[in-house]
Amino acid sequence: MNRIAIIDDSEINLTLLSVLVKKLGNCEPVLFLDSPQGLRWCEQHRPDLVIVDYMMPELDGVAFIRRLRAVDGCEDTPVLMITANDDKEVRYEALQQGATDFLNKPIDRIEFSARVSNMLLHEANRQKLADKAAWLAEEVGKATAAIRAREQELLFRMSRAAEFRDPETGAHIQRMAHYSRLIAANLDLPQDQQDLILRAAPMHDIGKIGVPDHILLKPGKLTSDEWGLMQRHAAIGYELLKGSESVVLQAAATIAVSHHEKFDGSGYPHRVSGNAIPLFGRIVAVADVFDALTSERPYKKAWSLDEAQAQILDGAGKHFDPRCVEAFLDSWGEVRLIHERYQDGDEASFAADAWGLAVAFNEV
Amino acid sequence: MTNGVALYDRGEAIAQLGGDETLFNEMAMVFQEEKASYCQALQEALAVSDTATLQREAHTVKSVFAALACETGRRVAFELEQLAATGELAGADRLTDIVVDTLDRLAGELGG
Repeated sequence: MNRIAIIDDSEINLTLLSVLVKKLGNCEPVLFLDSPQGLRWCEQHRPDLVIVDYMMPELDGVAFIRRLRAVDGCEDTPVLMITANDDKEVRYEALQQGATDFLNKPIDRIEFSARVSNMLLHEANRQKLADKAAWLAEEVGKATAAIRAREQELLFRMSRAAEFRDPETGAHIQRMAHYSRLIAANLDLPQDQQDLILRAAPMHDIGKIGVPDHILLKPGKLTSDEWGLMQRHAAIGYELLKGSESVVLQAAATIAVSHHEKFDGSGYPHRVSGNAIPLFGRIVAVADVFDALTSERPYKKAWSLDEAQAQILDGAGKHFDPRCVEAFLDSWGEVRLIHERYQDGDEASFAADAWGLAVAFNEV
Repeated sequence: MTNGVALYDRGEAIAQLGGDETLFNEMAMVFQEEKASYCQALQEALAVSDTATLQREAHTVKSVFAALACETGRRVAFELEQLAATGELAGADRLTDIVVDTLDRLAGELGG
């Protein structure tokens, strides 16, 4: 049933229009002598069509249409203006404000029926198209989400592949990714950048895939040559990840090549310094070192959080960007929570929780 | 009816409604009910020299006359509407009287 709002300050016109609308069939006229009252009804009920007189007290037809077009959901509602006024200026203004069509008084029943039927048909078709567009948008959204989930799953599995050759653990990448996001948030980066670093940071050491086992897994101290080969993992990671259309992989490539650079220029592979180091690299440097210090390794015990905090603070301006250190330490309570939450053996919950992956970590 | 000539064209009015005589009768009935309020609105606007309201009410009455195919009434209401639109009241009382009289006579014919 089409609901048609009719607004006219003349009772006799309302009677006429009401009868004509009813005769169309499948139409319910809703009548208003008072235009502000009619507008309020339209705001609440979203009619299928509006028929409005031009000359009315308080709110005339042109002002009515202008106000109606500002109502959410009534932007495209067809509006038929009934007027006894042949003044072209009035018609132009009404068109400018959003009138769909005009009809002159006295109203001719045949013409009225044809115009209103056409407008209702057009509106129904427009609505169908709008519904279809909304459905398509929803489907595209679902497909995009599925692709993103698959992409994230692949990234996660890639990160794990690198770790299986490394004494570092799955919990390490969870914690350092969350520390990185925390720093990004405290630096007031936009939400999408915070999400991006959370997703990209886990791949920071993916280049270790290209480091020989006898170096990567060597229990003792590395020789100078071995250390040189170990340092190549940053450039290897960049080579693996660069050139992708995926913004996550682009960010991951940047992080891989820059997270071992130091603020004073003494890092590797390019010995760049200060703000020349990409911000994501400066952020991940803090997160990665802090978590490495507080993690147990075959060759060292875990530092306490307070000891690691002091070490990070000491590195501000030398190893680390002081702003990133400050942003990290500003939320010390949250740092502790992340440290406690993501412990070895609890990777499955993180995979589902933080990355929204349907596949649990322990299925890898 | 003036000199045996009807004030409105019943055939034209019904033709405008697609030949629906029942609808025409319904409109005539509403007109009888509303006529007094049209007259009152016109006279009140004139009494307080409110030309904007006078213009709007004359416009409304003009469309009522048109709907009932009362060409005489439509023309004089249009004249009053145009005069009021200029903001001038000279001659408005005479035209208002004619409009009110035409409304009365039309009501009489429709009721008879």
